[in-house]
Amino acid sequence: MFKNYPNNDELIDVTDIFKNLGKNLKEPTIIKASYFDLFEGTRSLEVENARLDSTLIHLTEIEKNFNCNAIIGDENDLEVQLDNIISISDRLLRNVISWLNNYQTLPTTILSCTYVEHILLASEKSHKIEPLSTGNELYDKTLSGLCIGICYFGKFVLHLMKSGVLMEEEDLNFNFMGLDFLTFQESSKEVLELLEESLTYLDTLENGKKQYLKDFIRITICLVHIEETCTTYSTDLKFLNELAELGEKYNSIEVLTSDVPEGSFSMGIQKRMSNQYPPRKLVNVTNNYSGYKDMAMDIKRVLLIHEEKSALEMLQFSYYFGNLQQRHVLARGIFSLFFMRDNLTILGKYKMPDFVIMQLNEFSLTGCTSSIENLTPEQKLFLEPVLEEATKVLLEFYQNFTQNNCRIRQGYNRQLLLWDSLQAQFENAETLLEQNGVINVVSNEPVVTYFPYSLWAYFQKVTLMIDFVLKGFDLEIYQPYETFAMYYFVYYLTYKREYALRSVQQFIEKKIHSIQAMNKKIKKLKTVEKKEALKVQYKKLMETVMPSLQRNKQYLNFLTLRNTITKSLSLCQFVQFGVLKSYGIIDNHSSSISEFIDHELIHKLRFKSFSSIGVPELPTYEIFESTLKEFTLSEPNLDSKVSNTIGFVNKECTKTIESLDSILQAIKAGDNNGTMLTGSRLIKEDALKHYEQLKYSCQDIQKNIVTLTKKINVISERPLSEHFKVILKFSDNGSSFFPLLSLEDKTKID
Amino acid sequence: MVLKYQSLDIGNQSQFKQIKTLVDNDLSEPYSVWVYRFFLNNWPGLTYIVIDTELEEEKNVIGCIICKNELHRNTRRRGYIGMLVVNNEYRGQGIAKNLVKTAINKMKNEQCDEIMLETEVSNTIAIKLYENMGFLKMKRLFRYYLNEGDAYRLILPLTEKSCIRSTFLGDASIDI
Ligand SMILES: CC(C)(COP(=O)(O)OP(=O)(O)OC[C@H]1O[C@@H](n2cnc3c(N)ncnc32)[C@H](O)[C@@H]1OP(=O)(O)O)[C@@H](O)C(=O)NCCC(=O)NCCS
Repeated sequence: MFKNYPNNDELIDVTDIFKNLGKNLKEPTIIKASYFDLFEGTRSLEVENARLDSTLIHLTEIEKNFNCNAIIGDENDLEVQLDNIISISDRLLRNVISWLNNYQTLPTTILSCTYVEHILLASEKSHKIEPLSTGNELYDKTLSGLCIGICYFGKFVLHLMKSGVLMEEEDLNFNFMGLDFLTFQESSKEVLELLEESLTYLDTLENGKKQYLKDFIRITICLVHIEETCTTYSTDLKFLNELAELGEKYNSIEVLTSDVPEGSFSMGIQKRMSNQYPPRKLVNVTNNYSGYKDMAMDIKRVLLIHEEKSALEMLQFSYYFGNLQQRHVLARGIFSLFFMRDNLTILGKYKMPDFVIMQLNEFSLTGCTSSIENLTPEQKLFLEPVLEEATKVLLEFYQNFTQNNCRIRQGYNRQLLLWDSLQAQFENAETLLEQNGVINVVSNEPVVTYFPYSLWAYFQKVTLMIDFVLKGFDLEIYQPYETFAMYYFVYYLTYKREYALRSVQQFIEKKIHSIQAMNKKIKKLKTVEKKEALKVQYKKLMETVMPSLQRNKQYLNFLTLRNTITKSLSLCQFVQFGVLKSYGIIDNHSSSISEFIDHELIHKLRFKSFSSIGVPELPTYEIFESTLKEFTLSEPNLDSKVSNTIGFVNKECTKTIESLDSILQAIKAGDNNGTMLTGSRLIKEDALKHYEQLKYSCQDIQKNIVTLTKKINVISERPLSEHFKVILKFSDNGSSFFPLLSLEDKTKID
Repeated sequence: MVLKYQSLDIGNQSQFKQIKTLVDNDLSEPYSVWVYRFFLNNWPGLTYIVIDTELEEEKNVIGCIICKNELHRNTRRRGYIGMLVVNNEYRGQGIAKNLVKTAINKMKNEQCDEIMLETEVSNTIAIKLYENMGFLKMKRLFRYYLNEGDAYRLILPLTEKSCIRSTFLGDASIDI
């Protein structure tokens, strides 16, 4: 049972020592190791407590005496034996999905299969794969192959967990019960051979049901191959496609789940093996084969990043992959290892420092005097340590997109500080560069210079601030009364972001202009040598820098439009809030009465993440308050003021829909329309979905504001807060970053 | 029915057992005796019980709140509500509200800068109870509970310190 379990003669009786020591203890004393805190405590077990003591699990006689090396039922009846093995295999395969897609534990899914437990124990003992030995090949080859293949796949999942990309318990449960998951098995070769042998054997059978088993073995083969995405970084989609197809096929076929032989699945392992968890009932699996398809599709999606052609595509890919919906746990784990590789490269192609420069070049650095390649070794010394820091921060930024939905927001929160500090460090370095004559001039009169590195860090920071706030809506963190402050703040941040974008744009325009002006200059020059020299320079710039500048310009067009969309939607949201406040239906403070409520303190707590950020400065509490006042309408002529506001919201939404349409068109056309670069080629479907959802949100807001006012106008008695309550409503097609401020009838709910 | 609110008598085994049964029956998480002892023995003054004086002593505890109070990252004092339960037959009469109020006031007197707790996303009753007292949902925690549900972490700010990241209150590590 336990490894190295001592013999009886090696044990001593400590009862008396224990009792004697215990006598001196006073009533409230707690004995514990120093590291044992509440967190450990909430996971501690208790002897004789049925909810916490797995030794109290009751097993039937059949479960207790189940012999994995015995054939169940009439061994000469092929039909019976096929049914046995099909039902066990079917349940085991469904358990894999319950484990991975539905977050069930390992002991209640895969390890609840007694054959898996048996094979793992036997294999660990002899340090090599030990199939069953019943004398019947359906057990010894097919069922064994399936169990061993799944365990080998489990070994890969364990590897993902150990690499730190997935969180134990949260993303995945890998309570392995002290069993060795074939760690001695260095490659999949032997496992795959066993599975192939099983297929060959199944072909010799003359019974139509063998097809089930052949397919089950194929599924297992596909699972075994998944590790190649992280070992050889294979991008071969063959097995993932097959897995998706089989998942789909079996999703509509009823197999024999209800008829598994008694004892083949049991809670027994929780009782028998080294178990640090409370007892848990087995999961009652229903048909979930489509889960294989979901898993395969998400992993396939990850591998697409391999086809990237620019840093921009990597950035957009990660954003749409991670920020919008939670991906399959394996896909998230694989993404991290596939993208940031063991050999410290990105996708095996780019060294880390180059990767940072690539990102910078996509945004603000192209054509700059302070580009790293233009600097002397001494000047480089100012920047290099900061670029090193930037590498770390950037990698964490990418890694964050592979986390679960809730952790992504926490990641944004942490990163605000990292980018804030990075910005300050870049500012120092760039100031030193300027003092050393490395100046990026935007205009001479007045003198305006340009800091491409810190501007990038600033842009990233403000974007994270916005994403952090909006993700809070997606995760249903805020109460309706908070919507004003949250959307007003996003609106404020989009202004700051717009300013940063404009600075980059100005520099790029200036650069493009100055290159173009060289052509005219050439004509004016008198000497042939000078003409020739400038021509060469001009040609070089036109061939190298100009295309990049044009690219940057198009990317900025996209970023600016995207920023305007966020700005307008946020504006519409808090303007609606203003309308509701005008009728007294909602306020920007909690309406409940409690001695502990301090509105200003609550507001400050909500904005805690930003209070330490110097630029952009967090508006004061008073500014939030006075801004809401500005957007609150009052008598006289309240109704007509409201109707003007409706007109305004309508127009703003219509404008936003147009902007969204042009982004949608650019994505659909593969960025070929020459005005906008979205970088979404590799993740087109998800990007389209995101902007479609925003478009629905605009349309929903247009309808919503009319509905709100109609509802309000029907009721003549005041205060209206007695009749209505504001809720945040998530529509089916709209974006979860912009839920609707809807009115719910109070009489209906109470 | 006459209800009596009082703080726990740590030497009273019957009260201890009743609290454990009450919580075990109603909270989805199974807690070991250690968890109860951790709270009750370390902070006996921060557990309050409600007694129905008309019932026999062995079964008269009909509600409880269990809290602790610790220094968080050496920077701010954080009160924490670990468990809150009211017997099914006594619900909807404001008992939980009274218990929470009493506990918060106690922790406030003990100079707490904030009160924190976690509750399941699906526990709308508890969320409403706390939000109405000024608690704010700060984070969503993915699959926080053993029964697989997400949770919210809520905080009630009591002083300005609650509104400043601990990194800027003198703690060197980043507060997330
Ligand atoms: C949560 C619980 C402690 C509330 O106890 P209670 O004594 O019934 O609560 P109260 O009567 O003091 O009600 C307090 C507030 O809770 C909310 N509430 C209580 N019952 C509610 C119900 N049935 N529906 C909606 N809200 C309800 C209300 O906001 C109420 O305030 P209001 O009456 O001013 O509107 C109780 O339901 C319980 O023990 N539940 C199981 C354990 C649990 O979930 N604990 C909290 C986890 S931390």
